[in-house]
Amino acid sequence: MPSEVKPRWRGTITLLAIAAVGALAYMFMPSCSMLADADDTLCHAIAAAKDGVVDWPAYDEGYWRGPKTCHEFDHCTLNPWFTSEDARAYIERFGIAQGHNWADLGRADTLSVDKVTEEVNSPLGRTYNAYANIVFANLEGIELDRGRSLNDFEYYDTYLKWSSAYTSQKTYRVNGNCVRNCRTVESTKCVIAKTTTGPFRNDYIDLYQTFFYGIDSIWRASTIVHEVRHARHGVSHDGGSGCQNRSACDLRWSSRGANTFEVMWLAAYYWTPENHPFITPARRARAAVLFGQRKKATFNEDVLWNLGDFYAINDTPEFYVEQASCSEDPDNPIYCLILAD
Amino acid sequence: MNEKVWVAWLVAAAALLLVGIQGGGVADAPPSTAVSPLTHHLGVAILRMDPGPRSREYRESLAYLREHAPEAVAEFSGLVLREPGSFRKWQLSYLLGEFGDETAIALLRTFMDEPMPQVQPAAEGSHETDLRHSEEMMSRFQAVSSTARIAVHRPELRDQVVETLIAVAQGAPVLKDTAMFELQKLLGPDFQSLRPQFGPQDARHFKPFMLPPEWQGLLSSRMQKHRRQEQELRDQRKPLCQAK
Repeated sequence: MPSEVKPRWRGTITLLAIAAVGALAYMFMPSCSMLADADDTLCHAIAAAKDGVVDWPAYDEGYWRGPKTCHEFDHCTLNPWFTSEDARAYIERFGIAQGHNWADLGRADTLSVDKVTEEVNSPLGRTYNAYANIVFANLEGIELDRGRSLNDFEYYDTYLKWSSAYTSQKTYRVNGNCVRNCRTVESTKCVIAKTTTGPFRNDYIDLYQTFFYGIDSIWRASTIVHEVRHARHGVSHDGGSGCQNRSACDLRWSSRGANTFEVMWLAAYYWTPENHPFITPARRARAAVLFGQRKKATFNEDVLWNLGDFYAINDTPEFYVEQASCSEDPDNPIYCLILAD
Repeated sequence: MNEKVWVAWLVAAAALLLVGIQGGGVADAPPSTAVSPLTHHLGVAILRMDPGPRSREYRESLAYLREHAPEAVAEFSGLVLREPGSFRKWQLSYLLGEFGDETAIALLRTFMDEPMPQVQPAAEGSHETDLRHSEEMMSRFQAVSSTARIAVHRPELRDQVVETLIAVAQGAPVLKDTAMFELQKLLGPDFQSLRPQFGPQDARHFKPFMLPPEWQGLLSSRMQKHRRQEQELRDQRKPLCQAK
């Protein structure tokens, strides 16, 4: 009899002990960050809101000897919409006003800033910062009429003006999404945004957690320009996994796809006047490296254009959008239209 | 007796686990509240990088860092050479160009010479972006531009910078476009003198892209119009950016 009871007791005690160790480890796990970071930190933060107040996540790479100091061009004083209700209304009309989920993602908390870094920290605020790069790269800012014909180059006489109008006219709905959308927990292979097209005017762009907290505001802006190319016109990537990026590849520059539009916008951003009131030297430098990376990594066939080749993009946008930028070989240009459709 | 031994072992393991967790927390804490002037100015440079020269604090810190460039470069070297790609790594690569000296040129060169990590294949139709790899690439492009930037605030190092950029253009295919662009900016018309050092496959870099003649008139009038408008807008507005 005792010989049968003993193994049963031993098993029970072992199980209890393991459960106790597990419970202790769980209790003392530092702020559950390892679990919360299991992809959807933003969703966890929203779910944990107290009295409607969300503790917005912080970008997690910005540490220099202790205090948070990293800046992804999100500082409140450097983004004019922060002090202008008119600017916020203008940005809303890029498709955010029609978008879903923004109430949960900070509509009531747009002016929230991180106390340490003074960076705008709500997802909606960081989305505004992305659009601020599109809007205020034009010296006209919110005075620009975005509703004219895209063939009106007398009015849209810089590429930045034209692309601002294009971005506005060719999007219907921009949604927020708290999901991180990365391959695995803590993976850095992530979907930043995704566009779904429809037969009528029901295209929509979903922006994921990585868009808000994983990339800087200039990359966010170029991502929007990229996604808008997918939206109304439904232009898909035609390069499979044949580029260095291994996804979202365009076959070539003259595919006139989302990557071409994105890279051209980055070039135009770079080629703004040096004493531009909004674009600082660091932002210009960031646009240059984004240009280089996107150009190198997102086309199957090498793009022969260099940043220097876009020197006149903000003075003769019609040339760039209609002709020269579509060519793979500067010596034998293949003319094509990317504006007219 | 056997049960007691089991329980004792498990309790000991739990205690070790707790000590480990708490130890980890201590390791993550800031090492000290007292910071050296160098650390302080590096922190300010990072903090005020976006307003940049529009910020008085940034200008002051940059002046200090330029005076103490070798020590400042040494502070960044581990992060630049060993950290995987990140926004911070790009940021540090950018700042090296702002205050760097010959030690920065050497560090950036070492960084550019390191083999590029491989991209992992993306899932079929996933639209994934490998953020780490993208940031790594951008840091390297920045390393090229930062090397060129050093020649602007340290003209005495111009020859060394040009030599480095030529070597990068010849030896690192991924960085060639950026290196050639920076050389064009740095040398102006003298860039053409580099032609013998490059092969026929690089001819396009020496044929500057020009708008066709029929566009030149429009380009000229637009440039005048835009420069005039820019000046008018600047005169009308207060600066949008109120840097601290």
